[in-house]
This record gives sequence, structure tokens and C-alpha cells, in this order.
Amino acid sequence: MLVILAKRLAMGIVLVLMASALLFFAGELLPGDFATKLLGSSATPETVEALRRSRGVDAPALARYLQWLGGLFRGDLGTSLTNGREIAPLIATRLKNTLILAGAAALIAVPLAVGLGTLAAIFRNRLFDRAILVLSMVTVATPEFFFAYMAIAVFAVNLHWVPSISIITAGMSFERMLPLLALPVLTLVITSCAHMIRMTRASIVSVMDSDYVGTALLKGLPEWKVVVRHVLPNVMSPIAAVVVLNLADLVVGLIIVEAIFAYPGMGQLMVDSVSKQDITVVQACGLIFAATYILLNMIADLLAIALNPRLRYAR
Amino acid sequence: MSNDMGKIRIMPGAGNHGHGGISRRDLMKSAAALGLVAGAGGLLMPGAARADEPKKGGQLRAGILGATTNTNDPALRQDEFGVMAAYTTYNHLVELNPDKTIKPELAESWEAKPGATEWIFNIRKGVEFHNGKTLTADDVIYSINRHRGEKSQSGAKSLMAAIADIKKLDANQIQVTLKSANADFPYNFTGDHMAITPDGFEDWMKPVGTGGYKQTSFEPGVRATWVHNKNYWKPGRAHVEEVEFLVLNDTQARIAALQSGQIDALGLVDPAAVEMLKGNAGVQVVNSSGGQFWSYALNCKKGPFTDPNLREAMKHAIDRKKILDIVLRGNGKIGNDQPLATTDPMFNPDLAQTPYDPEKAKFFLKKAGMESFKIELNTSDATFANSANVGQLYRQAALPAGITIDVVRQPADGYWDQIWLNVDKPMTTGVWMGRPTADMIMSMVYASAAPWNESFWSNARFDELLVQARGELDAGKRKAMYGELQTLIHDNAGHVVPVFADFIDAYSPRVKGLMPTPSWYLMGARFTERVWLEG
Repeated sequence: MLVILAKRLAMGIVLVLMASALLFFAGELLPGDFATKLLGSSATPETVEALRRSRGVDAPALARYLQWLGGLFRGDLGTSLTNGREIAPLIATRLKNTLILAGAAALIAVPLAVGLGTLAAIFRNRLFDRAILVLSMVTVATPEFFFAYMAIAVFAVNLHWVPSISIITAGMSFERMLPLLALPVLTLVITSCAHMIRMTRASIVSVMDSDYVGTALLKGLPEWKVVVRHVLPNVMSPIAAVVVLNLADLVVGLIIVEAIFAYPGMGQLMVDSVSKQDITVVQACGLIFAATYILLNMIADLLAIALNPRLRYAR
Repeated sequence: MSNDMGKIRIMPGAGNHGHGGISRRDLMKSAAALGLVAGAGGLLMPGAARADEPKKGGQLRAGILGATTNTNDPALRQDEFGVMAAYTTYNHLVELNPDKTIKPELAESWEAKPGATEWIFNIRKGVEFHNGKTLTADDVIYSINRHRGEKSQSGAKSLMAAIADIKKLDANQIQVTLKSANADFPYNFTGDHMAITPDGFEDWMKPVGTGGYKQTSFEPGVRATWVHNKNYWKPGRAHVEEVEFLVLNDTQARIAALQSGQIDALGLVDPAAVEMLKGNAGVQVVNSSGGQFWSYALNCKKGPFTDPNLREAMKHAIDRKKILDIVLRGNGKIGNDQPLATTDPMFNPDLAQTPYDPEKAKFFLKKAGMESFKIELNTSDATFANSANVGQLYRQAALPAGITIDVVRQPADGYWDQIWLNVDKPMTTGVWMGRPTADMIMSMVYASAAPWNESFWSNARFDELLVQARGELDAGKRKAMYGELQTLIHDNAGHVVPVFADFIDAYSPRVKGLMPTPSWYLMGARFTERVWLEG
């Protein structure tokens, strides 16, 4: 088990490094640059050069990449190109906000999805199952901005129940934050549930078709008891993997929802920085997203191994 | 949605670079007299508002375009946020009125010495900054000099390059010496960049100004708040108790925030949303018709448009009315290939409107020795929303004249740097916000050496006359000179101006004191100082 863990960790680190290189050099390829954007009407060749120099962008790309990498190991994410401010504290606040939003969505979506998926499996091929199937197909096929705008139109514009924009600020109390989180969380729950529901249902159904479940049913156990006692323990591992992967999607997939609700998270920060060509911030955001994704993937793998004794012993 | 996000970024952003950006930056524009506003329905009637006495207090919340990169530094400010914040926190030497005249703000008075190269400004006495410091000539000189010199990175650098020297005459008087005569020079001090801060001030996260409101919090790209400045020197202004800017960039989210009552004011309203907003009980839509215009630059230096006949053909092959009706939904005016709005004091009414006339276009094509003609038009979302669709309208209109326009949609990233002002591109798209004076826009776009001469046009008579007009103090003579300058541009320049687009703003029912202000969005960016709240 320890060997597996070590191997996974090493692989994760290599992947993060590769992601960092990709992010950095992709940033180099973008047309335009922050200096001309920032200077606008005074963007003469000299002022652009002066600004680029003052931000250290005139050095060769490889040297800057290595310097950036070195900084990362010391926890230094560098400074913003446009306003020269430190990136780390900026990202800390935004990351916290993103985690609050993703966490709130996960807290509702995960039990809901696993529950609905289990019910669908139990009532398989009956009306309830069909309804869940159709609904989840619809939510998977519909882009999340559609749900976001619908939620705004109904709950904010027409009913006036909750605000349509979700600007939370540091030190805001939980009660004040709740109504602000309502619509983005609703949107995320709707769009993230479907995948988990379907995977839960599929895993349970496949186990329910196995011989030992048939035996249990034949011996006269009620179906719900079979599911809870004999099926669920065996589907924990695939479900856990799906859940964790969906969490990863939640964290890195907030960009659109954050932009629509003006929620001050990482996604919004990244959109801002891309539009201003503030590449250092884009790179830092991208790296954090990549690391989150890789880490959660790793956790999903490890969970699958931990929950399934058969995977623990490599043959 | 991605599409919408693009749109927003553009509009305002308009790019930070290129004209769009410029425009924003230098803000102002030209303007239209108040009365003109009219046009589009839904306008607010200024008369009704004026009947009420301003009320004190309340919280004014606005949805503003911005980004994490925003700053309170007047030299480096960006986006709508930077402009609106500049007129909330700070004052300027000179204030631009809604009718495009100017009046004293922190400069109590000014006068030009004969020849209009030496200007004396008298600084208002007894004005206090938010930190208690009293305003003096040193603060003013510091604030101006931040935009001058080799090292300056200011957006107003080119404007302030006109200054040869600034001298302090006494504690409340300065003398500005220009490199060449400029009868309109005080207008240069109305722009948002020219905000006055205390001498040596640099703490832009906690800005200090003399404006009607004192900034109490600032989270770049998220929000900013202000409280009323108890010591504000200007009578009858800055009525509300608190101001809050929420940074909202998504087009739909901005509109929804107004509809759901989360904000009271919204600038840069999409023409497509105007009808819908008017359907909302109490939402007030204000159109300000000013100098914001779109442009097609025909390269006069290289390629087919070196032949003036082809330029003339292009000017007759565009259906301006259709573009105004379909794309702007009537929220604007048709253009006549010159940069001044009909409401500009220098507008030349004798200039005939170029009609849409494919036959005439064909005639000019023949004159150039051609039967048919093919050209590539570069458009981009970096300019104005729907620019590629407008290009398609141009294409359709030009086909009957034998002109085939290939509309190329360039990515917004890098458009201003690589496509626009590129001498190898025969035809590009641009957008301009207009300027407070005719001289500013003409010097910036049409003079041979103009930094943004997007059509590479060069005309000796124009260049000479422009300098003469700038230094001319006699009003009648100036008007005649600017009239001729417009004629030269209209007849000869490589510039097709399809439409002037209104500045469209929307407000919640409780906002009072609104009036169309042709210089920019949200009452020329001075809404926090001018409006009040009821109920």
C-alpha cells in the first residue's frame, strides 16, 4: 500500500511539473501582451519596453520559467504583471471562496446524487427510474449557463427570493452568505448531479445482476435489504471514485458559474487575468487548478484501492 | 455565454488599447446638446427631474465593468471601473458640462496669455483632501507631472506631451507653457486621468482625493465602497450617503441585477436589451447621443485604397440606415464619414450626407478602371459588439455595386497590436468614443503623424489647417476652419463612419436627477456626484 502511495505521489508531482511547463509556454504563445493592454494610449515602443523591463518580462522565457518554478517551491507565486501586486495572497482569498462554493455544492449534490442513483437502481425500469434517467440526460445535455440564467430569471428577477449576484466579502457572516450562495449552488447541484446519479445507478445495477445477489433474493430477503447489505459495500469503490472526480470538476469547473454570478472566486480571477493578459496570474491559477485535479484524481484512485481489497494486492 | 462574456469584455474594454481603449481612457467625447437626446423612446425627461429638490442620503449601488487588475491610480486606471471611480474619489481642475462647455472645478479660473501657449490656472483656496490636507499648487503640479516625462506610463501621456513646462507662481497659482498654441487647452484637464491627488501620494489601495466621496474599501475586480465626504467643497453635489460599485461583467447578469433591484445604475447597456428593460416597471433608460462612432479604415498608403475613387466607392456602398436599425436598434445616428456628432459645436451642417447608392459606387469603380473589386475586411470583437455581423451587412450592401467584401473575424486578443494599424491590412474596423473637442479627435486620428491614424491618410492642407485652428482664439474663424477640416475628411480620408452609437444607461426607479450627458456612460461618468435617491 505504501509503495502504491509513493508511486502515485511521484506521478502526481511529475504531472504537476508537466502542467506547469505547458501553462508557462502556452502563455508565451498568446498574441498581444499585458504592457500594450495596460499602457493603451501611451503604448509607444519605449514605454512598453520600460514597463516590460520593470516587470522582468524581458528575460528569456526559459530563464523566467526556471525562476518561476523555483519560486513555486518556496510558495512564492510571483507578482501580477499588471499591477505588480503579490499573487499568493490574492489567490488565497479567491481559492477560499471557490472552495466554499464547491464545498456547499458538494455537500448537497453528493448525498442527493448517491441517494437518487440508489433509488433509481432499486426501482429500475419503473417510472421513477425512467424519470430520473430523462432528467439526468437533460441536465447533462444542457449547458450550465442556461440553468444559471433560468435560476436568475425565476428566483431573482420574478420572485425576488434571492439576489442574482453573489458577491461575498471577507468577514461576511454565514447567514448573510447563505442567500448569496443559493443560486450558484443550485446551478452547480443541478449540473453536477447527473453524472454521479448515473454512475451510482449503473454500478448498483451491475452488481445486482450478479449471482450472489440473485441468491440473496432467492433466499427471500427484501430488495432494499439486499441493496443496503450486500450491494452497497461492493459498489462503494466505483462510486467513491466518481464522487471525487466530480468534486474535481466542481472546483475547476466553476469558471462559468462564477462569471455569471460575479462570485469572487478563482474562476473569475482567471477570466479577468486572461482578458488583461496578466499571464503570471493565469499561470498561477492554472497550476492550482491542475494540482487540484491531479490530487483529487489521485485520491479517487487511492480510495478505489482502499475500498477494494482485490486491488490492494497487485498480481 | 462565452459569447456574451466576449461581448462585455469588448464593449468596455474596448480594448484598453486601440481606440476603444483610448476612448475610454480619455473619456469625454463630444457631445450632443442635451436636447437631442430624444430619439429613442424611453428617455428620461430632464424637465421632470429638475422639478424635484435633491434629497440627501441613501446608498447608491452601481454595476460596473472591471477586473482584478484595476487600480485607483489615475495614470494606470483601466476599464469602466477606473473612470467611474476617478470622478467619485477625485476632483479635476476643470469640469466638463453636459453641453460640452467647461466650468471651473479645482481651478477657480484660468486665462490664456495672447497666443494661447501660456496659461495661468488659479487653484481654488480652502479645499481639503480626504486626509485633511489643504489643496495647493504643489499637489496640482505633482498630479500633472505624473503623466509627463520619459518614465511616465500614464494613459494621458500623449495628451500631456503638449506641455513644455509647468511653473508654480504662488501657493495657489500655476503657469502652464505649451509647446504650441491651443485655444482649447483647459479641456485637457477634464479627463479622468487628470485627477488631483496630494503631492507625493502613491498609496493607491487607499486613495485620497478631494471628491464628493471617500473610498472606504476596495477589492479589485469585486467591489468598492465610498462614504459621503462631509467636507465636500462643491455646493449642490454629491447627495447620497454611501456609494457601492459591484464589478459585474456578464451581460445578462448585469441586466438581471438591475431587474432584481440589486443595483441602481448600469452603464454600457446593450442596445438589444433596451426594449426589454423598458418593459420593467420603473426602470429608467437614458440614451445620450454623443461622439461614439464606429469606423472602417481604408488603407491610403498601401494597396487598392491609395486610389481615392475606390475610397469613394466604398463610402457609397454601405447602407448606414440598415446598420443603425438592425444592429443598434435605432439607438444612434447614421454617420457621414467624419468624426463630429451632429450636436458638436463645431459640426458642419453644410456637409451633404453620403447616401447608400450602389450605382454611384459602380461609377467610382469604373473611374478607377475596374468592373468589380474584392477586398478583405478585418473585424474583431475587440472593437464593438457584433462587428462581424455589421461587416456582413456591409458585404451585402456592397455586392450590387460589384464590390465583394470578405469579412474576416480576427481574435480579440492581439487585434489592436497586430491587425489594426498594420500597414499590410487594406481594411480594418475601429471604434472611437469621441473627445471633448474637435481638435482632440482630429489630432488623434486624422493628422498625418497622428498616433492612431488608422487609415494612413496624409493630407498637407488638413495638417496645416488643423494646427492653425488649434491656436485660433476667434470663435467664428475656428468654426469655419473646423468646417473645412470636416469636409476634407469626408471627401478624401480613408475613413467610413457608418454610425454614431448612443451611450445607453439604465437606472432603478429611485434614482433622480438624471439627464442625458453626451460625454460618456453614466452621466459622463459623473453620476455619483450628480444624482440623488428617493424612497
